[in-house]
Amino acid sequence: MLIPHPLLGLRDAQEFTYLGDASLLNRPDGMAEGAAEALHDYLYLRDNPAGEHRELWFHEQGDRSWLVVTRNTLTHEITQVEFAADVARQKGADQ
Amino acid sequence: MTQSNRISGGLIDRDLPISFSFEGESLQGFAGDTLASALLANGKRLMGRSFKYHRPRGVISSGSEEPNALMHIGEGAYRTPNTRATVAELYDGMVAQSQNAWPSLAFDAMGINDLFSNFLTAGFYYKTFMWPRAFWEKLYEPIIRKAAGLGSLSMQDDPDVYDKGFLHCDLLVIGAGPAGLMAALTAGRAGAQVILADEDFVMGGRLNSEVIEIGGQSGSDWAKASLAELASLPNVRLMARTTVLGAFDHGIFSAVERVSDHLPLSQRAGRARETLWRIYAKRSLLCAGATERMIAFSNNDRPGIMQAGAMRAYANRWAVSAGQKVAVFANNDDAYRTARDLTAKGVEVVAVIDPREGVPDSPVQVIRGQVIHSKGRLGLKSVRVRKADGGVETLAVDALAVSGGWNPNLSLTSHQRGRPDWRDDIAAFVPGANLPVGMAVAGAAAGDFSTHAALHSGAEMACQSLEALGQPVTPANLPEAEDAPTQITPFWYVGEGKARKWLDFQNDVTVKDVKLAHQEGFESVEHLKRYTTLGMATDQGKNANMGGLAVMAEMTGQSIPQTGTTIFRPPYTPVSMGALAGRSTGKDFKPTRLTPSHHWAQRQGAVFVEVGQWLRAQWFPQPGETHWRQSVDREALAVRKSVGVCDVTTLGKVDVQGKDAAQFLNLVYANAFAKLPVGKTRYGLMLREDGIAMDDGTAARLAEDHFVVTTTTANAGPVYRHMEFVRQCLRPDLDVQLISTTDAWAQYAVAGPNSRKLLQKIVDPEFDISNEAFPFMGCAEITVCGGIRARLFRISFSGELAYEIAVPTRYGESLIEVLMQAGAEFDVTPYGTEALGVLRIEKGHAAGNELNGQTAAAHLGMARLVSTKKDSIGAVMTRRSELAKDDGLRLVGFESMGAEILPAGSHLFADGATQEPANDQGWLTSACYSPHLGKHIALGYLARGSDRIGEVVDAANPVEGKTLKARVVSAHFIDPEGARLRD
Amino acid sequence: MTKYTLFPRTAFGRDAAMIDQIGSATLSERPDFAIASVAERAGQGDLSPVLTGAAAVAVSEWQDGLGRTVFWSGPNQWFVLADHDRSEMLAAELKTELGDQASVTEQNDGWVVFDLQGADLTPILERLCPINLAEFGANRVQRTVIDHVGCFVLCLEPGRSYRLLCGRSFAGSFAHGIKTIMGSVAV
Repeated sequence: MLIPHPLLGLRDAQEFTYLGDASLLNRPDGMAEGAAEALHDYLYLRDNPAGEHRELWFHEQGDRSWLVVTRNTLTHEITQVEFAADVARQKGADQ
Repeated sequence: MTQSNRISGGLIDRDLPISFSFEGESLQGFAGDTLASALLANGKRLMGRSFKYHRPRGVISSGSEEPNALMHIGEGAYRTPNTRATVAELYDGMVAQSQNAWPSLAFDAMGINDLFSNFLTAGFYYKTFMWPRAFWEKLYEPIIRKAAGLGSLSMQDDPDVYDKGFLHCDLLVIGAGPAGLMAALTAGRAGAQVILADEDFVMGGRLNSEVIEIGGQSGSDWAKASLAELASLPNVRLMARTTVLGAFDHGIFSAVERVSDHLPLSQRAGRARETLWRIYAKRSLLCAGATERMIAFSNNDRPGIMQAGAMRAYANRWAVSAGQKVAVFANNDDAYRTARDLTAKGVEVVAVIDPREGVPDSPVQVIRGQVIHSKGRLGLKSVRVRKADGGVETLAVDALAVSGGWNPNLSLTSHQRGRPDWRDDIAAFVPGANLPVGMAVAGAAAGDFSTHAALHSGAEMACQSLEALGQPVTPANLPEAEDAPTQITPFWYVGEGKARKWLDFQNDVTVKDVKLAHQEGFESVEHLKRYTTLGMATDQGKNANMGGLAVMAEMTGQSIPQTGTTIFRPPYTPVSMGALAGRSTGKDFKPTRLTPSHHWAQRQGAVFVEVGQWLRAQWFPQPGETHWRQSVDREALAVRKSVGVCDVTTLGKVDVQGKDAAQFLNLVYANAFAKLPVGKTRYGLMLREDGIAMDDGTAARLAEDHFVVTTTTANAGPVYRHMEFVRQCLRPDLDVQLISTTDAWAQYAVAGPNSRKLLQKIVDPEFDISNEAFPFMGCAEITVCGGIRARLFRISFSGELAYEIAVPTRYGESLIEVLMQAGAEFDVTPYGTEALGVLRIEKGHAAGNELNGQTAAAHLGMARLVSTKKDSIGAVMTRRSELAKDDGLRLVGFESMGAEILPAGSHLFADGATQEPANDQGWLTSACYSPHLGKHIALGYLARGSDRIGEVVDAANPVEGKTLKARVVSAHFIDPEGARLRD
Repeated sequence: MTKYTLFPRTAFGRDAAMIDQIGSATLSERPDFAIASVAERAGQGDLSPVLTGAAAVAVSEWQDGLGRTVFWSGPNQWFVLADHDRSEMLAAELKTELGDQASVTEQNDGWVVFDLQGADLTPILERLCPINLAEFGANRVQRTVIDHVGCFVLCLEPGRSYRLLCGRSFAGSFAHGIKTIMGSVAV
């Protein structure tokens, strides 16, 4: 696969390390009320869609950016790639 | 017999004769020959024995689809099995041997299998060798494997080397026949980056095998001229001898280039045998041509029976007549070219046998009818023909050209599950609509069989491909070429005749086998393939699949497209394991990382051990030491008694800087870091979010906004990645920056009661490292040996007074030499990883064996370390009931009750308990002989371990059938109060 | 003063730099560089003009300036090369210049610099790494993998001159991998 890096263009997926569902960005506050339940859901309840999936890839042999890649798990078509830091910052701004 | 079947013309070079041997016999061919063409030229029709029945077989094709003429080529370690003679370019001194035949190709003892063929039909071994079950692995399978099979390995190391490489292009054209050449010309002239790859050693595809004209030139001359033009274009890369093996996601292709395989051994030295290319193509165009299929009839596998297209390729390209008297059996007009071309070359063509209603005009006698039988066990002698009028005629021929039509070579279009479409007009599958992204198909591969159609679609598809890239192209004028329509009536096998009608030559599958499979319920094509083995092995069904599908379709009363096809998968043709390995073999399998003291340690005669990619000194044998334990015991005792030095550069180091660096570490580590003062180091436990321990190490605060974090050797990469995850994905709002500095500093542990005295000799005098000025867990940036900057950490893995000192790596080798000189008065001792292990086990420090992905803070006895006053990764989950329960596993120490070692991995049971899973109470993680205590000790996890100090347990080692008694003790065998550290 | 002296050694454990010519290509070790990494602290903007004393360094490029080579290594991150004899304390110098604007880390001995030079290096490089050489002109830099070793490749002159950096502990394997291909291509 080729991942269209937002800065570097198409890069071979071999340069990346895969982590998983981009919902890992939504880490609950460990000090908040009900943190145990929230962290349980965060850790163990994931969707496993046959189709569009937002997932985290690390450009280990590149610029060391974590990316959120939107990939169709049936066709491997990649429709969007964002810096995870930007996504996380936006999430913070939204809250 | 010297090239008795060599005829005039051809693209061979008669000025370059080539000597080779086959079955021990010396023969001659010419440059430009393949092994197959040279054997045919020498009248050798018998080239192999079949897989199951050991039937005598000859070559049926002139290309990579060949199922029969498989050879051992080369001698000794160079011997390569299963080489298709049709693609083996002849070279001087080639040694070829048939395979699967004993004692000889002409008399094969296992040919007896053929007489028992009734017992060896589809699925025979599933049925016959079912009982007794235990016999399968020990008796039946080895016998079957010996009797049935392909070539055999030399059983020696591969003496060849293989390269890998990476190429990029706008357009990858696969196949250099008329369509591929026209496409490459179109795109190349437009300035696009083009790669034209072809598996043949002469590009041009069928243009070199047919008698056709393009633009007033012969097809092969036009190909030559086109190739010359392409070679002159700097943006075009011509890759002959290069097979595109697979089409992967997003335009990535694998291709293997045969670099030196076709050269005499003497010319190969230093060259790679093959190069495996990874090609990144923005667009691709498949111009892979088509493969001719056979028609099944009784005994249609005699040597001398071959594809009609192959027979005229041998005549036209290689100037070889397949026989003295030949006939043609075909259901289509295309095969008539064989009769025409061979006649023109002076070969006697007895007749064309055609089962169709209307047969075309031909200068050769045409018999409406079918071939119902053949004779000639080791080589065709005659064929029997049932004429349409009911009569029977026997034709004395020694070669028969067969054509059942052509199948577009669409393998690569289905590597990503693309399904082909059926076309009635050519009675064949063509690539379907769901092609791999960016791929188009042209020429015969798309079902465009005439030369004009191939040129036209090649140009057209090249234009479309470049336009899709935003590079508009003016289509070139196409040269004139024949545009004969395809005339074919589907005809798959001859009904008449009792003898076996072969569909799959490679796997000895007959029409009857397919019918039997249907009878037994294996109707799906995927089941048919697995049950009969139709379409397996080196040719992957290129020859046989269609025939098998047609028979199955007939049996089920469905159409062929309804019956469907199996999926083609990479590789397109067989590929050497060596090419896949490339240079990553033996010691070069992975990179080796060397420590700064490596060369010094080598000079000391150290024994090395691989730790991940690192090579570390394991111990340093001294004169008179004959057993590793002597060296390790000495080194460990020396540290406890005086001072030792160990290279610990391999520990991962991450530089953590930024205004919020402390806040960041507070999140990453389970214990508190925010208030760590500058100039202090702290142990840190890093958890996974699920509460399991990930890694441990230290963090030294060099400045308010600057920490140096260490990780374990093995986890340096994953921990850095995790820290970047936390930084970028969880807390992008924090001002913190990370970078690895593992290799930048040479770091040594200097451990033992005399360590300070030793260091004081090399630390520059302006730095006070006395106990008062530089206490336990201190850290500082200092200079040593007259101004060389260094970092000093007062940390201890051994439990002794100890330091770690780091200097820029270029001074690392010199530093250990200096430490040895300066430490001579203290009998300073270098120690390796083995003594390091002994020392840390004695001290009860956890390491990789203890942090094995199953253990939480409580198990390590560190539950209280996990701060509840702050949020940190894994803290919440650490407190979940199962991980935090009071009766869970605890890390404790064990002493052997006897003189035997306690093997790590032993499982623990209460004294005398039955050894069954329900009673399992834990396991030993690390074990060693403690020279300090004079006994065998271990660390391990034991249920309620910390409450069971003094108890005796059983350490069971079922692998060796042993159980040892061990006494539970504190994990801190040495100085549990830690007084030595602070001394 | 202590009476002991430390001497530098190259990544190959030698006093002199490794240099090897195979065919028409030469691989030489360059221990004469001081190296530092610079990362922008939050909200400081592009620091590369400060580093070069001139123009900004574009993504995937390198620029010379102030006697240094500055190359892009990631978003808001750069590597700086300078002469080791003159600037052994490069990281400290840069920290003084940049203060709280940047996190600066000494990398002098974290990386080994190699120069690969020759008449036609394309056949070598395309057997070593997946860089698209047709688009890899002068002033380009790319982090990639050669023979399983992560590295930076800088193009000094397309086809004829490249600068490579790998982790110091990998130097032996890295050079071995490159020299193997130099030999394979030279035949």
